[in-house]
Amino acid sequence: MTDQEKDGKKQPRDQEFNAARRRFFAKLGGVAVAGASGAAYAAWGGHTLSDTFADFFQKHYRQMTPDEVNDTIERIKRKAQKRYGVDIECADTPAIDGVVFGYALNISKCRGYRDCVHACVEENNLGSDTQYIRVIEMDEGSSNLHAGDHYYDPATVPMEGKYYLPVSCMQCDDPPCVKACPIEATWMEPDGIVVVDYDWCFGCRYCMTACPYQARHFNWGHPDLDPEKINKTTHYLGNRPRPRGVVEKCHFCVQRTRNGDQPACQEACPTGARVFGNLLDPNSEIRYILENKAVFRLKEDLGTEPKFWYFRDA
Amino acid sequence: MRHLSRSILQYMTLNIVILAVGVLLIGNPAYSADDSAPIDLGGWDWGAVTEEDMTPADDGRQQQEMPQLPPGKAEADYEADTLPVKPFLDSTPNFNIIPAKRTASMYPCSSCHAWRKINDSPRPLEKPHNNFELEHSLHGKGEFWCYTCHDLENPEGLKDLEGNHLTSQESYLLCSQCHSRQAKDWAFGAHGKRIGGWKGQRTSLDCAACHYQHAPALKAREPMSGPVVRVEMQRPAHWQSKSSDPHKEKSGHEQPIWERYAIDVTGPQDLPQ
Repeated sequence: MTDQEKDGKKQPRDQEFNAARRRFFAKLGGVAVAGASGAAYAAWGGHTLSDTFADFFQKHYRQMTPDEVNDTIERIKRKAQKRYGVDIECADTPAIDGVVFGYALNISKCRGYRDCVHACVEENNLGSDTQYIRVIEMDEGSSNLHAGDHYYDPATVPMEGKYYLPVSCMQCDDPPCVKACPIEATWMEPDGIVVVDYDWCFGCRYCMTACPYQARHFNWGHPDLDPEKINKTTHYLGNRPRPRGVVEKCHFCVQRTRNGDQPACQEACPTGARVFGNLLDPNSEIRYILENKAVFRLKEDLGTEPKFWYFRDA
Repeated sequence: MRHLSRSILQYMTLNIVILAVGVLLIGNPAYSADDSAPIDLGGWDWGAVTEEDMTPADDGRQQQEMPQLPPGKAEADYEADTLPVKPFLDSTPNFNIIPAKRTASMYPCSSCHAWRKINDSPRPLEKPHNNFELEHSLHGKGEFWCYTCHDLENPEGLKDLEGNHLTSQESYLLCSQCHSRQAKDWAFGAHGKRIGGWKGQRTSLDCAACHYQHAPALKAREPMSGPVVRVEMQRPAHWQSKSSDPHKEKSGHEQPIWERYAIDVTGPQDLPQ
């Protein structure tokens, strides 16, 4: 190698180093100035220094004391105010004793309108990339999920010779996503809902590959929410605005169902195909369906024990 | 001169009479040239009923294809409208219903039939009922007729097959006569839509909230927009949107998600190469 070639390679590297050094000192100077002013505003992404520290040292949701939960929720509210300019309410309503939620869906009645999909998007503050519910258009008489099409977009539905199979999180009783998570950022609550601590998740996406139902979704960017359409009734484990780079999923509208309301998809369904209820209540409609209808679950052979059943009329 | 004026007067009078008869004949829809067969008037003189009189000005039914109850309303908002269900099975569970307020296009019947005699003989629906949608699989095809379900003395009221009078809020008792399987499912919560929360006693919509009484099959409708393309999940080759709705275009269908969030990995461009 000649000296010229060596120089030719060395020179840009030196310049790059100098440029990087300049940027570093410029940042250091910025921090010093901001710190001197006492706000540290720009350097911490618009948050105060104490909030940034508290975020960094935030515990797992299940290890927090009630005071720490309240502090965390206050920080979440401040972040939402900073990012979207809205004052949200964020609850941490615990599971109700004696309640395990279950879902039943009548595929004879589903007509593929996708009203549930968009009610879910509005309720759960989802960005335009994410839909928790996928309605799969299936050939009549077939149960081959790989032959289904969830991008269907005909002029009118239902199409002749098709049926529609809405698939979202099955809230498995033996959830493979929970087993796959290396840091226990996702777990099953006492009422059977599999939830995610969005602040504990670091986005490895093992759970997404473990889920056989493709029910988990990754936030590639900050959710692009319209501040005027943000649902301000939120839950820590539910529909609060999520950070970038974490996994999220259907949580049976935990912010609604733990207060006795129905999930948004059930309320939006115009055909009454969706039935939601307490599996431990022997007089509930879902128990009648499980005991009197021919029900099935998706991919039962995997042993994930979904709490989401499908049934047909007759 | 007097003779001349009298003949002109007679000529004008004759003309007026001929014109009036012509207007009566052409203007009366029952005798218009378009109809090959005159309709059965049921022994009643319809007079000068025009098309405008027969066509309802505002067809409210078209806007009420689906339940109109707003989602998210608390149970308390429905209390004024809810009624306990009347037992119609051996073991009907206790629950409440919200009677549908959906009415037919020419409702109420008494707006005409208060002063016009009802022709109760079964016949194909013609003027002025020809705008009336009746697609109940057997109804109107000679098997069933208006007065299979309606009360002849009080057309807005209902009457079951045994002759018991029912109000419009008890229509489920009428439907359950034939649709017993659906009625049983509805009573136990496997059919129909529950309103309000999942806790406690159920409040359901009644049959007519979702099924228009006279044409109960649900109508086909355009679906809302579908999902965006995810990593490693391509649209099938045959896919093409047949939708005419412009709002679907901005849902991110066209650009794959990994391209939108692609990070520039080449680094800052201001450095000398």
